[in-house]
Amino acid sequence: MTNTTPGVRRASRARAAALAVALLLLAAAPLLLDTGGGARYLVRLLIIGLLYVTAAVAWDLVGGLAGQVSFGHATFFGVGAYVAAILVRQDVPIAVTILPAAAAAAAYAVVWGWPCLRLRGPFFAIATIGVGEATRLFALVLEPVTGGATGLTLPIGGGGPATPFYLALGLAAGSLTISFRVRRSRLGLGLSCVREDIDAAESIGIRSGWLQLQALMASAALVGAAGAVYARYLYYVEPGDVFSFNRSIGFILMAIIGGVNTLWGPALGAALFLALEQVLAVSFPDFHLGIYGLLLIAVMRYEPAGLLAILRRVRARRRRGPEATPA
Amino acid sequence: MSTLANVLLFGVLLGGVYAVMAYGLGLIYGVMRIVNLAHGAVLMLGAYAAYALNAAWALDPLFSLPLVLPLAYAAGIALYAALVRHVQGGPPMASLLLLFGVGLCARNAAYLVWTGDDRAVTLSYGLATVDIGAPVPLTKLLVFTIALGATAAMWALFKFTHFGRAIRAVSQDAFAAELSGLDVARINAHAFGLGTAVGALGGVLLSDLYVVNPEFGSGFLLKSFCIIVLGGMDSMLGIFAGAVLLGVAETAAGVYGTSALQDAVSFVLLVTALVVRPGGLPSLIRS
Amino acid sequence: MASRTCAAALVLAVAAACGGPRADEIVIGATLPITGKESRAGLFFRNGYTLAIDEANEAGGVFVRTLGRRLPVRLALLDDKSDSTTAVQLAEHLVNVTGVHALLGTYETKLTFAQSIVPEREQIPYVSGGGGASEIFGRGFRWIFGLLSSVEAMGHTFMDWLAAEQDAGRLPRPLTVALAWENTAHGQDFRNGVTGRAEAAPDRFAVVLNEAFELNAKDFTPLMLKLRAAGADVFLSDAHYPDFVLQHRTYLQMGLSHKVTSYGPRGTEAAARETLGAGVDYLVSGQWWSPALPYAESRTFLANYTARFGDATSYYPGLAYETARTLLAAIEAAGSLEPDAIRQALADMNRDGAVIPGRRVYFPAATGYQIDNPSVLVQNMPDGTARIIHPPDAVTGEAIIRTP
Repeated sequence: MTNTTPGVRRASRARAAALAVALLLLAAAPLLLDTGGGARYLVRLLIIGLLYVTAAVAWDLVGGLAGQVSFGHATFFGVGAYVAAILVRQDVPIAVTILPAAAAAAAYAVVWGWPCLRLRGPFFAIATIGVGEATRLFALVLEPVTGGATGLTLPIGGGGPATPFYLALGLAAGSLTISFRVRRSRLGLGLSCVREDIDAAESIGIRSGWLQLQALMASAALVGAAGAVYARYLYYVEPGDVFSFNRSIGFILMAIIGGVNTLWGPALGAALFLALEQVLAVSFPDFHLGIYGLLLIAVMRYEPAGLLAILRRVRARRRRGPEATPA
Repeated sequence: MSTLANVLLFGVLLGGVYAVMAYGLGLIYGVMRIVNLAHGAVLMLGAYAAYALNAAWALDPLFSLPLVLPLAYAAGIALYAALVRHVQGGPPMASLLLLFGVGLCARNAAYLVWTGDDRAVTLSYGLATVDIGAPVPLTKLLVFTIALGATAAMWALFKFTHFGRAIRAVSQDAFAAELSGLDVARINAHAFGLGTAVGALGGVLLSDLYVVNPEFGSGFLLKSFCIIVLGGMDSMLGIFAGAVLLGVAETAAGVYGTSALQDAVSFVLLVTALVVRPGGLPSLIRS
Repeated sequence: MASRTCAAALVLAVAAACGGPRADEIVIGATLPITGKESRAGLFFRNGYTLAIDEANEAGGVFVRTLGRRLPVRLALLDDKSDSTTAVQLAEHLVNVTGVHALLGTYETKLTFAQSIVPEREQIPYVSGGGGASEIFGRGFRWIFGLLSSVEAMGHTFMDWLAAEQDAGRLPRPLTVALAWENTAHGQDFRNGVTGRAEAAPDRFAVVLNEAFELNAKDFTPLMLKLRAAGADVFLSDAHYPDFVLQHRTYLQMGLSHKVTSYGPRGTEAAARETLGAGVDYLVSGQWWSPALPYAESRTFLANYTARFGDATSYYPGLAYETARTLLAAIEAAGSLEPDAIRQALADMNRDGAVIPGRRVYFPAATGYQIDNPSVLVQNMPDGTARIIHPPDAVTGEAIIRTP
């Protein structure tokens, strides 16, 4: 690592401390549960937010780091949700279903990833749209396994929101950790090379397909695990919800608007998306599509590096202080 | 008429419908290598335009074309100049997502203006049929004929007119085109306008056949992708062939298999075609 | 980082906005698809709920015995945009943040399915007039009450009416039935209803075609080709509006015809007659309420509704009105605002004078608290009117059996 002057080391230790405090605060949230309906609502909201963070950060491994924009990540979410639903209906505790859900999603990543990752750029994106829709249709048709259009209802009464909350918190932390480690590893470096210039990367011996598949599998496992917790949170899984195109779009919006190909960008985007959803749902339901659309247009047109880049610029300008007023 | 003959006849007719649905997308991709995720919205707005004129003045959708197409052309140029131009040279994802955002805004606008209600145009000949061995809906026959006409018109445009040749030159090598004196920015804008107009044409024709609501576009968008991939992405004739192939495949799947899987056919074909033969049908012929 | 502080602050602000149930008014919460795909139904439902609540308030409010006085009723209505995730989140908001005393349901089976879990989990009474699939109620829930008899029961109603026509000698015995259904919980239920009756009486019915189709199909030619090949006496389909229009248009263009043709609840819409013209004549549809019902209470309601909101075609207005009225009646019967008491009042309810077919509101425990009154079968007449042909206590004219 470069730049290890005492000032920088102090700054990064302060950041780590802030992170730890934030984590502790979050972890304490369920203790407020007994204080009333508002706290219950807040905890459930946080569950969704943490799942969004998990999925957006995981998506970015493929869409940002590997540079393959996937419109089909809802397939992993849905596979994880269904695996968890089927197991929970057999009286398996939700915590135990996380691993099988993640594994099933990763397996599904191999099934459609291996043929599709060979495609470049927009072709991959289009293929993922096709995969997403086909998965939803197959889930509808496979009535004996998935319940078809009726879906699967999970038995209610397995405890309050504390369990899914801690699972979601763990997944979000895990997702960020994995993203952090991958970006600094040989895998991450290789993926960046492939993203920048796949032909040059191949010519120096990088096996682009294999690297991208690893990213997809890791991403899928995390999103699948998030799907499992979602099933427990909602107590109900049906194809139109967990496999929906809108869900895939949501993951993309979160990562892109927050800051694609960064560690914290997708997390920021997820938090913004959650806040927007809440505000829009209650106050401006008629405009939610348009607002997401305008945000996307604004980001793509003016600041493709997303909200994170905008915030960094604002902070840098403030740090420079009054002496550095632009002429 | 035997079942197979029915499948072929109605499959080909359905192909005509699918062709007009996919042209706008194919044109913009073929010329500018931009995947227009707002295409579904263009179809939807074209259909709503036809509906609005039909509801207000009892205008037949076909007669509303002279009004709708120039508007769509202008709107396409405006959209290009304001937004698309700035992201065209950059990473392909930027234009993809930008246009997706435009699509979202368009859908919201449609909800605000027309609500989520289902709307349909009223045609005096909406139920009429023509007997060619089996009763064929007149509307589908009209759409098929116009699809053929549009294919021929565009082929002629690209082959014989200066405008068409200029577009082809820019799509082949923009730098060289600029060197030889062409105003690349203006030509790109007009190409985008043309693609939007063709998309609106599809939308107007679809209003003849389907009920319209703001979600109307998304179902057609996914199928359009399948068709232009099958058809080779930059050849009008190829797109027509791809559309017919899809129409026949879906009809056959519905008749010999089960109706529930009709939609899945297009997606399986899409992914297979992308993986096995990204060049689509024309590459099969060329190789 | 500033961004994360902002996010935390926002989240705490939401928590601070937590409310609690007040004792100076009755708050009824509901989400409806005011925008989105189901907005047409959502608007009718809003009108129906509003009318019932306004009537209660005009009478001075609902009398709560434990408080010894009448309390006004307030409807806290949110737009779920026809999206089930939103419906769930808003339901949680209504229960935990707004602090409602009870919930009225949203419209559409899929949304009701997902949303109903919230009141069950939070133990708040939920009365739904918008979710027909029997699976909603077959989950062993205690807090969900349905005023929409199941789509499966509608399938039974169709078959029972066909059997009655057979007994009257107007339909052949055995009767061949072609069945098509949309691949949703609604359609699955309908299929179960029809095939259930057919299997129980094989001397009466033979199902010769049983085919599912996807929502928003682009082409029904294959289905219609199969229908023609099946050569059945009767065609029963269950579809949403856009699919109904495309399917029936294809049906007419292929020159198909059956003794009885039906698209489940579809066919009486004014827009359908505009689009398909004489093609909608003689279609039989199953409705959970009809403006043509001759009951006195229904006629009074229709007059009030039309005067205030205008057009009342489709079954939504009457159903929504009765749903809201039922909940208010349950609160009055319970005598208190305690969720348990309201729930018990609903479970024990046996109320006459309702506007829905059968004129009685009750929730049998055997079906999971879903009412099981018959639907009303309505046949379109060429002069534009709708004739009620079933159940016998509401018939306004004889059914027309076509000769194909």
